[in-house]
Amino acid sequence: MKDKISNTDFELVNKVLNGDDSCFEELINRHQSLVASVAMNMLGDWDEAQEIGHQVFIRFYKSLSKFKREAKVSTYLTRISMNLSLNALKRRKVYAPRSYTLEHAGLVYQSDLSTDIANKELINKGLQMLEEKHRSVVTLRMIQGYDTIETANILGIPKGTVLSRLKRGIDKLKVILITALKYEHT
Amino acid sequence: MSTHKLENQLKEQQYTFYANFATEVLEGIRREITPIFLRPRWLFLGLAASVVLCMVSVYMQDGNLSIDAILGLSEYNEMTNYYRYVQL
Repeated sequence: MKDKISNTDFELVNKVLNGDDSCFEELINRHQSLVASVAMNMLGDWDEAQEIGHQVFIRFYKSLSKFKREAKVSTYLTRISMNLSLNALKRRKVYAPRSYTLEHAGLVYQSDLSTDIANKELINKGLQMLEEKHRSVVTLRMIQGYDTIETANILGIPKGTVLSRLKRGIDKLKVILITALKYEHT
Repeated sequence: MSTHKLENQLKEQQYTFYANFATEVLEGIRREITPIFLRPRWLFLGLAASVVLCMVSVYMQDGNLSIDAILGLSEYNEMTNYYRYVQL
């Protein structure tokens, strides 16, 4: 076990390709919180995020032989998580069109709001009210800590677009959260 | 609300799956890569279907499902055996 912990991600990938599946378990343990965070911040639904989490690692396992090691394992997993989350959002739109009102997002029913909005759930609900293009950039850039170029590569958009969407996303999120607080206090 | 404060709070939006998540994923992978006909459920169903088909076949040939019929001994009797012996 100690041996696996000291291995780099690429070494673990090589071991999995040589038939040692227990190394894949170590890879899952290393990166599961990254996948969970991307999926949960994009989808806002824990059950759906878990389902996406399973699919991400299964897809990663199946594509290991094609993994070219041009990007870090974490970046590759982030890209898969983001793509699957966006696909899930598209499916959701088809079956249940999203509502953008504060009431539907559940923001006005928060009874334990503190003035500094130190409320993870509240921020998550605020994120769900952003458009997907803004939410994906805010998730990668601000929550996952990728830089602008990495974010642009993961999403397949130009660097300038990342910057403009980030600015717009943060501004909108601020408005949403401030509005929610006003609702709560009136 | 300052942008700086919001940015700090966004950094806190981290989540983790449950403890046995990795085990469940590995089980899912095993299920996915095992050919459908080799999965225990399908193996068991295949075996059960074969037994039922054999029983139906025996019943249609012999009209009953006795142990003798299943073992192919329903038409066996001492006299038949004797005549065969005499003919030889």
